Amino acid sequence: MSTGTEGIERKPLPFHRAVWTLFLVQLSNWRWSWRGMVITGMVAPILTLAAMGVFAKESGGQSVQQVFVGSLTLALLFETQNKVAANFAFMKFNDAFAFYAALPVRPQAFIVATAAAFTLLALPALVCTTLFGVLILGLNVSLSPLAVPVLLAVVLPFVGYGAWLGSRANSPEEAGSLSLLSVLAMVSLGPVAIPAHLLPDFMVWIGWANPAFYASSLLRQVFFGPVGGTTAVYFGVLLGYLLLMWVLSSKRIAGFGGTAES
Amino acid sequence: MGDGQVVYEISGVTKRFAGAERAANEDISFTIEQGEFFGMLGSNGAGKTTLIKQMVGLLKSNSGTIRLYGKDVLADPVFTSMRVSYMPQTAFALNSLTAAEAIYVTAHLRGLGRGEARRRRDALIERLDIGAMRNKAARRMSGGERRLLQLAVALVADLPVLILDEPTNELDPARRRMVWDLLRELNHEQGQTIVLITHNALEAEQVIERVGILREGGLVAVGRPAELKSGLAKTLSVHLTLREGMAAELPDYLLVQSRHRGKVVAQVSRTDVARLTADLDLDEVLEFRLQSKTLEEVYFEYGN
Repeated sequence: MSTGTEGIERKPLPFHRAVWTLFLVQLSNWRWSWRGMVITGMVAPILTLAAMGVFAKESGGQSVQQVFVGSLTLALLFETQNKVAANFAFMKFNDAFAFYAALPVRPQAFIVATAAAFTLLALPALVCTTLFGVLILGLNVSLSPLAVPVLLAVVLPFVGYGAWLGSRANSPEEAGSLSLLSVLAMVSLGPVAIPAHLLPDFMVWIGWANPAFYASSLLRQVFFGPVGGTTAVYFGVLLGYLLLMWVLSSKRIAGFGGTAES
Repeated sequence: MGDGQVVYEISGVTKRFAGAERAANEDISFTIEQGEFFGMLGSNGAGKTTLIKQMVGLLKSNSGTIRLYGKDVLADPVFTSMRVSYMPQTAFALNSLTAAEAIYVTAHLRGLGRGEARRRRDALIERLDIGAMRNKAARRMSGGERRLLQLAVALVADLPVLILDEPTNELDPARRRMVWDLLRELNHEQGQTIVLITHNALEAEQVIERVGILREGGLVAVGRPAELKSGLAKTLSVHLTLREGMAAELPDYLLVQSRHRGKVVAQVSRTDVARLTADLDLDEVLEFRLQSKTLEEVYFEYGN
């Protein structure tokens, strides 16, 4: 038994091992989230895809592609932003942040692990929506090698926004409502699921401030091409958004292993 | 009593939350020595949980300092978290995990190797007699089961300082006794310094060496239970159960606090004890109990 002043022999877990352990902990959320994943991450996007696809087919191939990537964006928003908001709100109101803060683990390890776990948890919805999209809309997809980095650039800002939203909410119920509202607003505002030429000008302009617009545009580029300068710019915009969310979320969970909440 | 080495040194600590009418705690100063079993008592909202969160380094004080083994708790969070294990008051963080997983993961995150984490997990599951819920998900547990799991998680790393926020809440009497026995064992045999908040002053009295009583954010009393009792010890409590139908006249120097269906609770001055036994007709009394102040009465006196 150590007495403290001599220092205990044990050392804190290295960063990468802490990330891995926390990743497994966050991944265990699958045990309760899979039902929600089937409904909001698969059924809702597929229904959207099927319903809007009927009208989009009459407007041409570009519209069909837009409905497809819009549905993928919807699936990813539900599976990442919405789930992380619920997870963080739950932790905030159950003193879970205090639990983690009392462990010798850096808060960055927790944030990285959460992002990785919820990204992985979003994959079944992404794959399922893609397969149904190809089948229902008859799309010819040629996946770019940039798909993986683009997917991360799309998903991580959503995770960050969910973390910020969940840690700011006044109750888990409020987090759920605000997150759902955000998902619907982000899919509706701008050319996310509906092509720009079918939207009024002001909606297209609003879209420039909507990260979901950049997400769906990037998805369209990696699924249907072309990949070029716009891809890099949109990639940069989403990374900037990710950085902003990282700063805001880190501040919200301050006290977790470092700067104490004041 | 502790061995003289100061574990916690708390000096003039004040915590004020934005928008709150009064400070959560104000100008708190006391020390806790190595190997001490220190209890914190106080009514709801007295500032106990806020204070221990400050002691763990989860809340920054507006003024004052909290030193752990001479180091500011906020200056080096890893130093604090490698020495202090904290059991929060509210629900459990690792709700998606089973009991065995939660204990193992916490041990591992506290720096124990995989083999050692497994060994400690299995020993704790056996010691706390929670084998039946080993593979049960935390989110499906009853309040008492989850409380035991929280305790196991707090104990698994075997750190020098344990800070427990109401560890026996929601537990049945048998499990409460087991937990008090375990804490006593950790304190006496392993020398762990234990700081705990409890509302169960009667049970805590069996193990606590020193107690701090908080009222409306202020530390109104701190000391050994016997010392605090001695300050209030001018009277003793008398508990009488009278025969049914007996309308016994009680001596007028007895200060009756309650009388209902033959049961009487009263206070008697120490100087009147001798004549009380002479004045009472003990044949008419089914039960006669004379008792010094309990820690609970000390708590009522100072904390309310």
